[in-house]
Amino acid sequence: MISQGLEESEKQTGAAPVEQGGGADDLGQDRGYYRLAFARLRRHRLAVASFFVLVFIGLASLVGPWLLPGSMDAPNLYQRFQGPGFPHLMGTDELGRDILYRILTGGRVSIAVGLLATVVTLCAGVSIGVLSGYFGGWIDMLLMRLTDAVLSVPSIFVLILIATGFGAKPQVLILAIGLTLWPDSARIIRSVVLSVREKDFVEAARSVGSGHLRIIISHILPNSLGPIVVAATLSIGSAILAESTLSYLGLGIGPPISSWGSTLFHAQEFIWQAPYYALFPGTMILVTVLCINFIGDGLRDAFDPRSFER
Amino acid sequence: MIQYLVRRTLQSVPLLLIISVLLFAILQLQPEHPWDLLLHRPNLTPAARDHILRYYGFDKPVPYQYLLWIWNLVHLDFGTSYFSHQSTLDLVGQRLPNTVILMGTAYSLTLVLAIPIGIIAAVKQYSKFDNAVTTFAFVGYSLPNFWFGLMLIIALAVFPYEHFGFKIFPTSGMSSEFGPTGYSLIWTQPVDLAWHLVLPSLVLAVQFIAAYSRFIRGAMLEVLNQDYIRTARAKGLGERTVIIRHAFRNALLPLITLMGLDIPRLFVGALITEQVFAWPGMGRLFWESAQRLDYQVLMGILILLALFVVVGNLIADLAYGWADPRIQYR
Repeated sequence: MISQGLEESEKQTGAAPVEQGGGADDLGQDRGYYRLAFARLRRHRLAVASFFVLVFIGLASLVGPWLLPGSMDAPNLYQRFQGPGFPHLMGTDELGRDILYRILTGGRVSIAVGLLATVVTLCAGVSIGVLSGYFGGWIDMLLMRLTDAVLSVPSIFVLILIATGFGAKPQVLILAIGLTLWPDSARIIRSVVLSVREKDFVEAARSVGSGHLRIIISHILPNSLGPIVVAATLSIGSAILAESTLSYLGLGIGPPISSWGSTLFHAQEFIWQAPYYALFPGTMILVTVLCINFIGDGLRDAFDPRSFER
Repeated sequence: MIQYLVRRTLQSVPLLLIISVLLFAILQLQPEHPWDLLLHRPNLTPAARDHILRYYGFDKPVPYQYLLWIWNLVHLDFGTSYFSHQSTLDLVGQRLPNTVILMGTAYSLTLVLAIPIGIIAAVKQYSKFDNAVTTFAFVGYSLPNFWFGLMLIIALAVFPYEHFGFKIFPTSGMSSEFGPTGYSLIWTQPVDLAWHLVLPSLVLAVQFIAAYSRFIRGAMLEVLNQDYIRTARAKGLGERTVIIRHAFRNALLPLITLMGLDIPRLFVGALITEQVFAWPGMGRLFWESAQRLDYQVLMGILILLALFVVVGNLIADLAYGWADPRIQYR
């Protein structure tokens, strides 16, 4: 199933460019670029399936803890380290709490941090990418050196520095992850803006006297939306991985709140007594990030397949 | 060529300055400071307190501290630990060999496996093998590698130990004896070292194999469509020669750039892997120093890493010129 979907996406990569899109199939010529892209995305079966898996994980994390009895999250030392079974489907942890319940509440934290960190990344990445690509010259030069500088220091080192120094508070983690992930999206967006800037409609807007701000907001940004969406999607995955790595190292949001990563931090300690403990949180991270990456891949194919290949 | 080298080196100076200012700012903005730990002792008289602050230079204004740090750096002094009073270079010198052993093994493993995988996947595009490689690449990108490490420990150490009473592979350290580390292990106990290397290097390598096989596949596909490949085939060359001598050699070029750019990722992976397998390398040194807010060592390690990255990129550019004679350095 997986390989089939991938194959299909590969073939689409080689398909006709978007401008001439439609043609052979039911996609009408008069439809807008984004509707076309959406139609292409819908045919990317793996991305669609991933989307539903993600919706399921999101809903389960959001609603699940309300449906399960609250007593499952209460410590119960008589029930420590019970293997997967009934009523504890994924077993219990070192305090006798239900691991499924921990994973569902942990999903809230992991996904929320991933999304919010992506908002930070996007704000930084889009503004730096657009400023750099649109204005060029010394602004570009300065911002790209800054980007190089951030890229030259391995991100996890800076994250450890920030998380130990400023304390593992949610806002610190979100800002820290957001501010170490932006260079990738800034570079992608800059390269797109560079090409959009040269288009005739930008020239036209300039000739009727539009200011820089107006050109950027109503012409540059809407026309670079595709790559921005792709960059955003992929950075959600990176942010979730970064958060779980930090939490695994013991620098995540502290107890009693736990994320998938911090559950693993505790599970590692009991790896000899309760091997199943480490299995499920990691599976959740893997499945979630994998689905996000599949969707990102689908989006990349759906928008112009050639302009921003990684 | 020499002119190019000099220019690139000069260009990297402002880059390193930006990095150092950013890192210094992050450290100075933190609510906790290393002197909190240094002054955390009972019966500290105010005079002794002032003496400690003065001794480490904490009484000076922050810009002055920064300039002093730069001044020391220019003299190749990467700082001294507040706690062990060893120089950063000494500390790194003890740990770096261990990290190099780990990264070298993982990276060799990556190249040895990813290159043939990528070539075969490209030659047999859309085959079952190719699809499997693509799926594997996506899983590799998305895999939290510390968790992969934990799973390997469970599968190859915990379970065998529970059921058969022995671990297939060791789960921590780089030697069965307590203590010895460094390059000397390669000669004194190569088998034991290799045995300890299996799990960590596999964990570190898996994401690189995923990324590289996919990358090589892409590079090969691009090359295989070129006219000179058709020419080579038309001349009647064997398919093997065409693939390896004509196609792969050209696909190698982007790979060289990637290798240069990937040095930071390698260190990130190494830090996490070292943490999972208690490997006494640079990552753990950094981790321990971060726990103690040992600024001098932290700054020293980070600026060294940035230097490695800059030098790595430069070497990649030079290697690119060596592999592609069309490129000239001016």
